[in-house]
Amino acid sequence: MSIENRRDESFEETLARYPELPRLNLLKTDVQRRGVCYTENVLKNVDKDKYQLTGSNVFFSTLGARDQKNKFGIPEALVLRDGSIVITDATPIEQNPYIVDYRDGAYVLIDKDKVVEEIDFWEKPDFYGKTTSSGTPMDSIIFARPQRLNITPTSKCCFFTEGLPCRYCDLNPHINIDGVTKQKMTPQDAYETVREAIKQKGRFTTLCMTMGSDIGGKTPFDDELQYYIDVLKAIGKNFNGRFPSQVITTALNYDQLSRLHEETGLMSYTSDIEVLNEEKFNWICPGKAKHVGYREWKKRLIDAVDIFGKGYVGTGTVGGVELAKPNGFPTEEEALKNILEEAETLISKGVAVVYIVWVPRPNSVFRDQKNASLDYYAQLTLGLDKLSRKYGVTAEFDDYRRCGNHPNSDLQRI
Amino acid sequence: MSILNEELKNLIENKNSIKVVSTQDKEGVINSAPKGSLQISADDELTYVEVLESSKSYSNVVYSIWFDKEVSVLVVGENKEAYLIHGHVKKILTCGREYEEYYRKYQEARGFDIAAAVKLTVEDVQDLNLAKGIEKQKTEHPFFSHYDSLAVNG
Ligand code: SF4
Repeated sequence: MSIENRRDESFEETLARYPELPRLNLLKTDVQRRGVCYTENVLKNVDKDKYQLTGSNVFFSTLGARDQKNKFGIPEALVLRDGSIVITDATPIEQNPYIVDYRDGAYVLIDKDKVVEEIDFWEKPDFYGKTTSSGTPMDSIIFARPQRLNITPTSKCCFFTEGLPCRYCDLNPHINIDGVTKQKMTPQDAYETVREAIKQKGRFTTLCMTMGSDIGGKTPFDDELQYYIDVLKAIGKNFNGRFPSQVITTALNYDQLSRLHEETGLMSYTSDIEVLNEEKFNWICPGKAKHVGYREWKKRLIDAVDIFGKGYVGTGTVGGVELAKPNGFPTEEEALKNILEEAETLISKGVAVVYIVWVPRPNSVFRDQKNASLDYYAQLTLGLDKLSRKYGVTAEFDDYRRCGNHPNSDLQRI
Repeated sequence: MSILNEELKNLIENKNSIKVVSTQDKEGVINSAPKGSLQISADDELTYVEVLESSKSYSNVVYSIWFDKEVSVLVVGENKEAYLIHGHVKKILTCGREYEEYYRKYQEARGFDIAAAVKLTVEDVQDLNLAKGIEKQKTEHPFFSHYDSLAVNG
């Protein structure tokens, strides 16, 4: 049977085909693929003081979610029994999401009226509700995952302004609709927020800073680079020397990467190539294609390994977007073959490749499309994992705990 | 009724007892590691702390919860009382207030941070007391002995 015909298969049928894949890992993938819908019972019982409910931070999934009506005041995301997390997308009931319910004193995930797993939600950190000395709410600039600080300093990407956004991305539209555009964060605000956040013992292991692309500067992206340097330098005053950290920037050139490494305490570098195929990349990410280009993007990632070291450089892809219509791969078989071959060209040079499950967002160009079958994601997870083991390329800076949004890097736990 | 008897409960709670958790990896290779932090956290539930995120012990515990593999815990008291507990990994806490509670306690007591708190189910207990074992074997397996030990006129 071709993968195409497996689209309507049940979770259990797909799981049975891949006994080497942990059930919880595949469940996480499927929950991301199909989304979740919370029952009234959950919303009535969820402890608002304990749990982190959806608010107004950019770069977090629920604002631009598939369910545009019920996206505020719901639990941010899930924690599974194995300690891994699931970043969820609120999805209308008509689209067949998993249901999250509250039964017999516990939160549970339901599929086809059956309880499939007991879950928990992300808890609110101590720094939420506090303000910096300039009066900025700390939770408006740094968003907490269970073990990571997400620093999202601006809420715009220049590729939208140019009319060349990545076609799956909804950054500018959703922040305009949701009215969360904010003042550009100052390095001092970042320093103070991190200082406050790390007082909570055991809560955070790393931080990740990312924002939309900024083409400005003498050399393109110099302004973006300078801002990262300023913020990281300020944050670095909280630590001695290098500290566990990640940035996800536009692909920077060798000199820019060297500056980033030398002038800050940054420990790892990520630049998301998004689509591992030149032709599809040009179509899906026209802004990235115009200002950097596919081959140059790859070259810069490999350069970054020279500077940051193997195991400290990665790239993210949007798993399944390579199948978007009308110019994506016509079949899942063809897509998988191409994507994994191309991933090997990077992994063999020391660049970790991770993927997120593509969620067609209602405010993106690809709004009406469908993501891939669960079988496709199962094979992508296993295929990337196999390659990372073949070349000994880990992604500890972007794993189940430091990130939690990549089914393939979760497998590195064993 | 709890599977753990009073003697075993006391042994687990005694700081001087030795507690060893054994797990297996995907090749079936057994790993045993002392877990002094092991405690009773609820009825028929044990919790201990995994200190090193990079350890074989932690990776095996993840493997166990992923593929539903059995875990065993050996508890040996100061007077050589010994029990073997069988169970499964119920939950791995890597975040949240409950995890932070274990984190803080361990850090205060030992001075370093931890990777996770691991909850185990208790499903079966074996008393490894040798004298009791010899008596049981005599009754249930009379052939398992040597003539010289049975001889009347030794
Ligand atoms: S670079 Fe692409 S994915 Fe990133 S914010 Fe801009 S449009 Fe969105």
